[in-house]
Amino acid sequence: MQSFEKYQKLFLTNVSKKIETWQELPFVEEKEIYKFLHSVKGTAASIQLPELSTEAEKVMDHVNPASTTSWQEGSWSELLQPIFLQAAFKKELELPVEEQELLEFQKEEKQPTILILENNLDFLHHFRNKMESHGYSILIAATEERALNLFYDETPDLVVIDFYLENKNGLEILEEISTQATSILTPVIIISEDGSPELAKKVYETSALDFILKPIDFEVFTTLIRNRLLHVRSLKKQITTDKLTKAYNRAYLQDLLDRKKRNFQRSEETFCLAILDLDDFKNVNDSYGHTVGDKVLVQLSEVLHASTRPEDSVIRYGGEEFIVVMPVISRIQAKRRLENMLEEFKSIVHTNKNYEFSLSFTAGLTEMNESVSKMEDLIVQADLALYRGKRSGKGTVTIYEPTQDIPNVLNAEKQVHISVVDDDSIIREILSDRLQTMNFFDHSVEVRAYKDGESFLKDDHEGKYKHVVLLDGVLPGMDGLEVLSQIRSYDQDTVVIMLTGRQKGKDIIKALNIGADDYMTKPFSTDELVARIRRLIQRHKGGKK
Amino acid sequence: MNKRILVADDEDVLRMLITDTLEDEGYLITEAEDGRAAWEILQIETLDLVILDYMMPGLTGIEVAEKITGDCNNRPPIIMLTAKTQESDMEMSKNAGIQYFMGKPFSPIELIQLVEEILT
Repeated sequence: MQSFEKYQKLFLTNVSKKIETWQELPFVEEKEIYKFLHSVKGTAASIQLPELSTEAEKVMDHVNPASTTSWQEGSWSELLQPIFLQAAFKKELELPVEEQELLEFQKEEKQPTILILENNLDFLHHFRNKMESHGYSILIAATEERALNLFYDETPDLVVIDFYLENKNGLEILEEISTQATSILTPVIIISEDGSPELAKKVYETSALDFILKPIDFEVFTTLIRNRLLHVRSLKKQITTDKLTKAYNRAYLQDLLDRKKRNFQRSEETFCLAILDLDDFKNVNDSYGHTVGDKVLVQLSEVLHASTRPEDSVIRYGGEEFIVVMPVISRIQAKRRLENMLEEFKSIVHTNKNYEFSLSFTAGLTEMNESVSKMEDLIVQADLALYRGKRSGKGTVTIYEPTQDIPNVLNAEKQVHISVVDDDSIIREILSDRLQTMNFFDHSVEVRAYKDGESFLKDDHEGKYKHVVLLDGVLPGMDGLEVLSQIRSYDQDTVVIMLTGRQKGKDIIKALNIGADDYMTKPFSTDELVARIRRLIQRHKGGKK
Repeated sequence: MNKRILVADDEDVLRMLITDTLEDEGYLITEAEDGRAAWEILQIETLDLVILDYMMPGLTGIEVAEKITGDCNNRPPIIMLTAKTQESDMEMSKNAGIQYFMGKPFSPIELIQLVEEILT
């Protein structure tokens, strides 16, 4: 049997190209649309893409080859959306991943993340496309507040700030981010329409690294960003300490575990590994600010350092997560030690102005043994125990048990829930089909579709550990933005991606302000959507597993 | 002697598929990406078979066929690739001297069988 892959690939690329060309035009003639559909219908089925052919045939009823009418993008993109989705869907399925070109930074484990504070949608659009094409992951903030939160929660690798944000002066946030950023080696780049020496001086006084004038040449800008990132990376390589807590950092953990593994293979020297996670830390940041949150982290680190032996290592694993590696010790002994650390930490009274509060942490613990082949598995085991501890009431130390209810825990953690909220039944159907086959490590993906906001909100979403909501901006009954604010009123962890028309710039900004994580403008490719979902979940809590 | 076939279709992918399929069978292929190019080639080259798409810019498949039966010294057999199966089109095509049809979508095996049938 002949393989059709080559033809399919070429054909699907041609389809995407066609649509890209059309997007540049103010309108497209109806007979052009007819010709396109005719060719899709005829060719697709001959190269074993029958679904695409069927879709084209269905849509063909709506266009007349003899018509002299022209269609604007809004209308043709809506008409062709099913075909476009189907084409993009096939494209991803048919092409082996290895064949997709890997960009410079994509070869690395983690793509560099760039935070941009900008409320000019055109610029944002351009910037995001350009940067993503270079393999960067983009965090978008339209307000200072969100920028600050993202900066602290996601620790981006580089920050771009548009200085003249409407109504507000960017200098304050710039100072806050800049001071913090410098100490953790995050380059800050300022862009501005005002190039006066006075402003430039002010900006540079904040220790921002670069001050770039708009309009921006994106080729130059991309190169600058790449250089900054490379420079920081080489600096960071030399550094194994977490600046804030003085604990070791993740880079060090990797080396350490490699060494421990070799030791174990050579002399069967075992060790225990524990993951500690501060309980309700988000509340601390939200109620008292990040400065207080940082102090708490430092104190926890001090407790851990004070109660461990010289041969133990303390690593800051994530935002509020620490790992403690303890060589030659039994699990029971390790548990006892951790419980002592917990008591000690709980007894600390933290103060902020007139408030006093105490905190606890939850820990999961596991021990190296022959069945562990990869060091990552050891971390996963500890994490599963941690998860069980969190579920059974925080402030505990739990030992990993392979036999107990782990499968359930595993399921909860290894499941991605996607909710599609769109009143268009075709989009619901195509997205559901496509997303069900999406791969995300070894996770299973569960997709649910809702025809309006009310039915989505009524459904039970509890226990959805990794939850992504694709939310149409325009819905019958309750509006997309309303649905979004309802979600955000009780839930900050769910990832929300708005699906919206191109012309709805204001709504996008509004949605980002209310707390949407990202947006897609119709017509979009499912490839892009899937890539975006992957990135967002990876950033999401527990995404590293 | 290897037989020479002209493949005229404005859809790149389909043309490539046909060309590859027939080249694998040992035929020599000349490609044309629209009706006008097909007609230019027909005036220069001697061909054993012509495969024409029905809907092409420049000249349609039928127009090319009419020229072949009217003005061409050498009159190779013609296969018309068509998504249209209406009676009137068939009539028009037969008047233009087209003897063979292949409805889209088609499988490469069908095409090979038809080509072999015509050329042997």
